[in-house]
Amino acid sequence: MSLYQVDKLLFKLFNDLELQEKYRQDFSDVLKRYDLQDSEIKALREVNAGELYRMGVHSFLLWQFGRMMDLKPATYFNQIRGE
Amino acid sequence: MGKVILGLAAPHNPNITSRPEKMSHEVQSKLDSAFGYLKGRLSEASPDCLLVLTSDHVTNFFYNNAPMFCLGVSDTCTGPAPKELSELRIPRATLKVDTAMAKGLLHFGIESGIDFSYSQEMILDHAFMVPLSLLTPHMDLPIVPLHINGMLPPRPTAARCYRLGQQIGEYIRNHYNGNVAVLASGSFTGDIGGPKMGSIDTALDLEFLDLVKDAKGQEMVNKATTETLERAGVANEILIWITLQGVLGDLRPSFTDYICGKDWSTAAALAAWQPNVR
Repeated sequence: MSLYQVDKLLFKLFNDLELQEKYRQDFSDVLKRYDLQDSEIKALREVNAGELYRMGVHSFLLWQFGRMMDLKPATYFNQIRGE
Repeated sequence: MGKVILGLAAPHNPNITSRPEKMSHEVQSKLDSAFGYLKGRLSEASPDCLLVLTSDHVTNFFYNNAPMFCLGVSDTCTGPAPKELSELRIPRATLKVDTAMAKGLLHFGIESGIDFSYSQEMILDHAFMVPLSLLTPHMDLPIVPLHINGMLPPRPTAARCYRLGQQIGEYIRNHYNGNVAVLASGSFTGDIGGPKMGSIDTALDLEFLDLVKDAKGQEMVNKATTETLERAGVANEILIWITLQGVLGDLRPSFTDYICGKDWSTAAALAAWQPNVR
């Protein structure tokens, strides 16, 4: 699993406002820059916080990714708590 | 020789500046009062420098390069980070760094066993800027920013942080020429983005606050095991408080407060230590 690459993408998104905008417009183009597994790409495209959390993504970065993608807090917590 | 003339501890929950209207009147009033007290002591003490201890929030540091301790040594540092500006409601400011202290502490550390990392480009994210904006709103007090890794495990041990604090105190007393205030920025527990977010661990918060009240530094160290830090959550800042207690030794705080807002992700613990008012 290329978990580090997922964390790295979320770190870059968290800190780079231009990259955030690009990601919102065409995430496929941004995702291509990282060495990601198919399962990771799927979870990122679906903004599946639960799946990403269980993969071991850093929870602080995951929370910021959820906010960036307008994932509702209640949905985020339901997902990561597996409810 | 130098003196530590004031210790302060305050939270940096971004909600404090970004969404004050969401707080109840009671919480807002308690926070204003507690921050006002700390601000008053800082103004009264009028230090030459404010050493700010906190953990970078994945702004400067990440898994590609994750120092345990990093000093900002540039002539100035700027914050908040661009990503935070729209929410924090804190104007971007450039603060003077007391480079005599930052570089002096760096060299003292290297010679005495603290392998500090250092940065000429440290950005002051909300962990620095939230308390600074409330305690020194004109941003005119020279600072020394010191990052202590709390967010990218493995973290330094509590014993190492306590010893770090002792060594900082030794440096100030024996090698620095001036009066220093030291601020620990952070809350005891906080699981930002983790499964415990939203349920504040008041029991653990108050256990640590009781140890702070009694200046039980060694007991804080003993309690801050890896398991306790895991329980305290990804964004806990127990190690920051322990480092400050190391600086202050057995000095008890002259003021403490604990404020818990509804829907907050972390509670606010605040404290002040006045070495000259024993």
